[in-house]
Amino acid sequence: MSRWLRFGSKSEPGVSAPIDPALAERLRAAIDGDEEARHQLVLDVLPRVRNGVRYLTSGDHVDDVAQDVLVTVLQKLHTYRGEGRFEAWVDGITLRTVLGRTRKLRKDERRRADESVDEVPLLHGREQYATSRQLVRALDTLPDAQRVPLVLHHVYGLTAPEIGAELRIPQETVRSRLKAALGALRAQLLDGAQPRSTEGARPRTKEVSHDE
Amino acid sequence: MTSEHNPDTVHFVPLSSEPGPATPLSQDEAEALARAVVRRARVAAAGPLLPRWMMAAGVPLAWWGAGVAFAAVAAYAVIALPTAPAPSTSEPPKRSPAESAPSRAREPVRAAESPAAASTSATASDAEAHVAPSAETPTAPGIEAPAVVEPAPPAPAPSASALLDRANRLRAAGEYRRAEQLYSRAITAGASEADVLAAMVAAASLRLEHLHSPKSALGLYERVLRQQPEGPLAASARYGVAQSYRALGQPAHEIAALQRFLLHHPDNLLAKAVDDRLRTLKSAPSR
Repeated sequence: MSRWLRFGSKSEPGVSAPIDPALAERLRAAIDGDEEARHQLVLDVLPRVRNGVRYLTSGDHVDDVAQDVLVTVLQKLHTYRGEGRFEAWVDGITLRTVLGRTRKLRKDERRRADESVDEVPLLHGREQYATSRQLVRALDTLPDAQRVPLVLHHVYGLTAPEIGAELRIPQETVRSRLKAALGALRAQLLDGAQPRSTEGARPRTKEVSHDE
Repeated sequence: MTSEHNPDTVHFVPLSSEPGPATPLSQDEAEALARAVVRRARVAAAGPLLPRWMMAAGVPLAWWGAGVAFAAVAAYAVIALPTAPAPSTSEPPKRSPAESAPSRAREPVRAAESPAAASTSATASDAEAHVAPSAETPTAPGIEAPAVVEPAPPAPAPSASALLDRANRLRAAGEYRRAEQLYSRAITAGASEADVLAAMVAAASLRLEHLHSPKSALGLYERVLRQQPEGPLAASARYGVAQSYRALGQPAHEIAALQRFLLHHPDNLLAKAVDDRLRTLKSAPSR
């Protein structure tokens, strides 16, 4: 489990920041069964969990999977020892749940995102949002065998050996899939099917070169 | 995402709670989802789970069944409570003279507001005089709504949640017959499906374990399964069916019921005990 605790903290190696007192209090109450605290805790992590799920899967099942993740979070809350960021701990549960589900559904026909393409960027007016939406739509075109390693590496910060261990594939395979996935993604994005980003402030994004 | 300056780069937006890539939920949607999550976690925690030491210690199967049914019903009762109007949050507005006319006009004038009926209502021990605001078109401000002449209603019946709650307490106190009567009332109280199913399982458990009526227990368990074959109480009900057949002395049916339990709930904590019982039954010489 310790490896999972590191998820999401790639940019902060070795950091074990003291837990926010308010969060600690809420966690304590939630573990003790305080319904309001549990409710608030779920609301706190819900957007991040949904975003993580959306990165890893097409839009059809986001809320179903997010619910499963959050139920597991509440069930396992007592096992969180504050040794890493709480968000990273939740990310670990998100990944485990999604990957477990992906294995189960591997034979299912892949369904495409059903989300509205046009209304949301206008609604929120955030370039970062639009960027992430474009990205996942491009990710939706990739097979899971490429998509999942790509997201694990570039969004969750796992290394190739870690991805290999998690997906039970050799790390050489992971690297080749990463390279192929990035190429396919870039081609998809350059296809011109997606609208260009609006001019102005650049989004807070992680830039990944093609040959990474 | 594709860089406008360098086409060989892809931008990954870091994972955060900010909108994207998932389409954001409205506040109401998020609240509803959170409530569902908390409920599911509660059911999972209080569902048909028994301590592993009980399994290891070889506690008789019948006791496990009783425990499972009680835990499941308790869980459902807890779940059902928030759906009932909570006095602290959803209490209807107080009916004071200072109350504004429009809001009064939105509600039909209840017979319970007459002094006589009010006293009746006040003396009812289970009074939960929650009257949902009607969707009637409000009258103009300042105009008193015409009184709706209705016969005085009987004292309000206790809600299904209240019945379940009281029945659970009676059961815990060992007053099985009275508890069973309350569960049966809850079944017919026009309650939500969740309340009805919980009451059915509880009543069936009492009939089976304490009131020596396995046949009627079997009927209730089967009704639960017909209504919600994969619901949260399905494991309890399937186990109850098997126990009922056992009590009725019908091993062939019991075997079939145990097999169905294992088929539907292979990961249930009772699965090992059920499997053991199944082996015992199959290895027994046929009668």
